[in-house]
Amino acid sequence: MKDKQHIKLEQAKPDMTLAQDLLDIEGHCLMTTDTLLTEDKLASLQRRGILNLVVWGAKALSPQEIAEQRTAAQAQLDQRFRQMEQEPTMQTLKAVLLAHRLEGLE
Amino acid sequence: MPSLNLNNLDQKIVQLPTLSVVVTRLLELLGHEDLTMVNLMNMVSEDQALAARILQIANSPFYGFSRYVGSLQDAGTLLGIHTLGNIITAAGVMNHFPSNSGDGFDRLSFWQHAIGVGICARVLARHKGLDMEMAFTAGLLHDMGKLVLASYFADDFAAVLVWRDEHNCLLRDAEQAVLGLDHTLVGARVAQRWRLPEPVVNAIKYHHSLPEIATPLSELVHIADILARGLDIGHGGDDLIPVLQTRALQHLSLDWQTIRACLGEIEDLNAAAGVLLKQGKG
Repeated sequence: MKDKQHIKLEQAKPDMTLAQDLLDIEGHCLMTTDTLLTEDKLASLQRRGILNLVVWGAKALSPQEIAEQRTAAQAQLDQRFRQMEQEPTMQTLKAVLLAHRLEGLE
Repeated sequence: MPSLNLNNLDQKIVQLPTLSVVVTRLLELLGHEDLTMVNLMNMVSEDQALAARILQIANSPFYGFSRYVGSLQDAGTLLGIHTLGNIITAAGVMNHFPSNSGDGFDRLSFWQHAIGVGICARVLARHKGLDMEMAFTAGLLHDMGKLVLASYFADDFAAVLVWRDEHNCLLRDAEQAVLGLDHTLVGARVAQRWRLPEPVVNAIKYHHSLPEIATPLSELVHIADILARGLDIGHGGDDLIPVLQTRALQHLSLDWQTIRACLGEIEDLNAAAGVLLKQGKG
């Protein structure tokens, strides 16, 4: 089963494939699910003010790539929760968010 | 010395610009039982920027219409007065504080966060069988006090941002330290003056600090703000996360499993929500 990945436009790269239709300001479909992204298409999306994309997970990640993504997700949450080390509820929330971020990674 | 404080807050707020004449009249009429869709649409059509923003929101992924909603008449037929009322509330405030203003506060990131909170509140509301439209509007507008401060009390707000950076704290804590008040109070007072719906005013007022007996909408927005921050959606003025008041989870019977299940849905909707950030015509 392919996994959806939520990414910001600046993280998008050519050869990624859309996992969700992209709509423009008037609700018209700009690109349909399964569109293969190219440099030109990414530039066009930037001009149209698109900020986020949902893409299909790329090829299976190597153990090193998985480790890097896990570290990045953990670091982002550590930064956000940096004043919450003593709050049990917030630690539970952080764990839920981390599990969500890592879903489909392994 | 800050110009805004608790003693002069109401006096200062009275001097602020109001929402557009059309939005103000609509907000006054929305609670009236004799308001008809025809009257509502006739009034909306007098404000082109408002009409454009309503169509933009109506065509957003939240409503999932299979065809483009191209006219106000279509929007009225498809959405009904209750949903339109909430869209008008949101649209009126969004147009008052456009995301391309050059006042030094990153409004694009601000509105990304606000829309993210609206989406989180909407998704949670759907899971709990609460009013999704009101939840989205309240989430979208929960931080409007920050825009009031940034737009109309720029020097005070600049001092707040300096304090935030020096003390590595929540924007709200910096506001309290510098001004002796914060965006929740400012936002609620302005929202009240603009006659936004009372449940929305309460959600704005209490989203950081719930009272013992809070409305479900205030609790939803409190949780939604924290989830949007945790999911790193936009930037509401600081990169920290406030403490989640667990009684909000208890009152709403929300468990971690349900929250986890909502996260993917929230991100799906948010991925397509950038369209709301484009400036309308007019």
